[in-house]
Amino acid sequence: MSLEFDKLIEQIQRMGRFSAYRTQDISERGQYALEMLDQANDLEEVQRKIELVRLRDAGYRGAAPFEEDVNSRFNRPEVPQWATVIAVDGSQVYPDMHGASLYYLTNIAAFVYYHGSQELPEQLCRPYLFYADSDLREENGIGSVIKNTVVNARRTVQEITALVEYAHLHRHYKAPLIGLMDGPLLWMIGTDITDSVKLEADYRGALVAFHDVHVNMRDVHHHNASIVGYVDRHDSRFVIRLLHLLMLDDHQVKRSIVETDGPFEGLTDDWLFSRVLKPGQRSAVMIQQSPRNKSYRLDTGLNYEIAFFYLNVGSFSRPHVVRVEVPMWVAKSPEAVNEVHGLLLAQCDLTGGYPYALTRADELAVVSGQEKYQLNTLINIELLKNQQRVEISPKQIGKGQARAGRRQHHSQLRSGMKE
Amino acid sequence: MAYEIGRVLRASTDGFTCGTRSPEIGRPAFGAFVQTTTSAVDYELTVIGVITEIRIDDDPLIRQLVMAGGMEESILRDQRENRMVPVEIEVLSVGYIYTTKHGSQILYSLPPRPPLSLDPVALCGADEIMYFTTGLDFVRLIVNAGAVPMADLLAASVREAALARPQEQQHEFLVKAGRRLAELLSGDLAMLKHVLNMISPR
Repeated sequence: MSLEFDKLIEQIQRMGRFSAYRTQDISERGQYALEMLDQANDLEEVQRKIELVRLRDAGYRGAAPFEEDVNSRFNRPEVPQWATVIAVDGSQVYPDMHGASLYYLTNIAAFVYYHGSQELPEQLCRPYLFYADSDLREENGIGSVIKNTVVNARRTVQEITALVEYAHLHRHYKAPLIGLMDGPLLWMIGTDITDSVKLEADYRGALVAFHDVHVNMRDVHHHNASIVGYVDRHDSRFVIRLLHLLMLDDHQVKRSIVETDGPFEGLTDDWLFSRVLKPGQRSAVMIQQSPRNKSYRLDTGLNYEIAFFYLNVGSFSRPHVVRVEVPMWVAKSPEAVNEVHGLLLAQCDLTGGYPYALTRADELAVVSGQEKYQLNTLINIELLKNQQRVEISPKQIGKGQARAGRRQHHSQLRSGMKE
Repeated sequence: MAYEIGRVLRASTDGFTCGTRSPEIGRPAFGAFVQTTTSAVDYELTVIGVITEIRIDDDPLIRQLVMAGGMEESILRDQRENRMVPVEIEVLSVGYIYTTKHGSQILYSLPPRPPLSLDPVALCGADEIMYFTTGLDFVRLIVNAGAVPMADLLAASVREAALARPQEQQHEFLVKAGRRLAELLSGDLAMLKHVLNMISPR
């Protein structure tokens, strides 16, 4: 243990006091926001304000209502009797310059749950090992080693591709299908990522392919296939920004003002909706206004703009508001929205707050430290068999030795010497 | 006939731990005789043990599911059939059978070496139990073992050995076992009385 807690205690105490002050401060501003939301029931006026801010290109990044009043709330709907819930998740081992060999690994897992049936759920795992220079290095295999963010981006595309594949395989089940991804559906890939253009195209291509599954299911047995991005923890302020926009006079609708949260600074949608939504209730379906989402609509198609709603999957004593993202083909179908709403609650009921299928997919995907160690051992053995040099960097050896133990003793010795 | 219940996870000469999957714990019972065999070029070593503990560890997800209440059949099946919920069976070595090309020999002492990781572990069949419990010195190893519920384990294993015999031989076996126990537990009459109560024919 090298963290010297005696030097931290005072900072932790200050942090606690700051947090309490902030909460108190928020509650005053929050009351105002709650009142504003309560009054935001003129859909036409809201749409007019959104049009105005778009027209003035004022950098608005808030929510826009879709077909429901911003302040509307929807109770837990009837859950479909049967449904197929497919969740995917992934994890990775990042390339390690100091390791014995240079590689990275992604492990993509899917979990298929047959809602309403006693059928045994399916679990599937696909590990992928990448070791060629073209995979590991920038600039077509001749540059520096790729960053971890590149691995994350590639893994995200593998996840959605796997989701599409399993949705396609299960399209014959005569029941609604929802495909769950852990995280936002509106994917923010950095432009600094190698192959970002291709990855983004693949990602959107997968969305289109999922929609094809939906169309096929509608044609054959009249059920929906909905893809869902489940955001458990978020600090989004889309509705807060909308409320700020609504309180502005038309002449104030300009970039310098719209880009701030005005009197609602520090408030989040989570704060707001955890006070508005009762357990099991969802908010109105809304659309996030951003150039990226606009590009989903204009470049990929009307069905692929991403909408969202908030959902309280908690209880009266402990509300927990999650953001649920769905593409437009789901958002514009009240039946599909109800299916997503009901099935997510049914999934969360199983574990007490987080979809069971996502919990299991995460469990299947995660690569533990011990598994990483075993993987490295297997790779090293194979390299040795092929007369390759297996050598950990001196830095890594040093780290390993320093972290191997006896630090408590060292630390005690050090503090003893100080005394 | 031997019924495989799992494989060796870790072992020492005193005993071993066998890992199994939760759907497969219908058969093994506390006090049951199990065996695991290690083969070498010129001999075969079958370690015989008795089950001293069957343990199912929880994990955070199980705890969460219990707290959440209502349990769907598909979740139960997923947890029991898909998830690797580890069941660990602790086994105390009570002897071994050493087999060479010249024949087999039963020895009621700790084996010369432990079984290896992943060696299959099987429940002993009635014939194997009868063969191994021809002599009663296996109870000495149970009496001398620390950290096991000795009285219950003695009673369970003696009853198991009796039940492996034909009905007409069971009484005689139990009387013989009682006498052996009386010798071994002569210094602890309360314990002896307790064990004899548990094995006495009704």
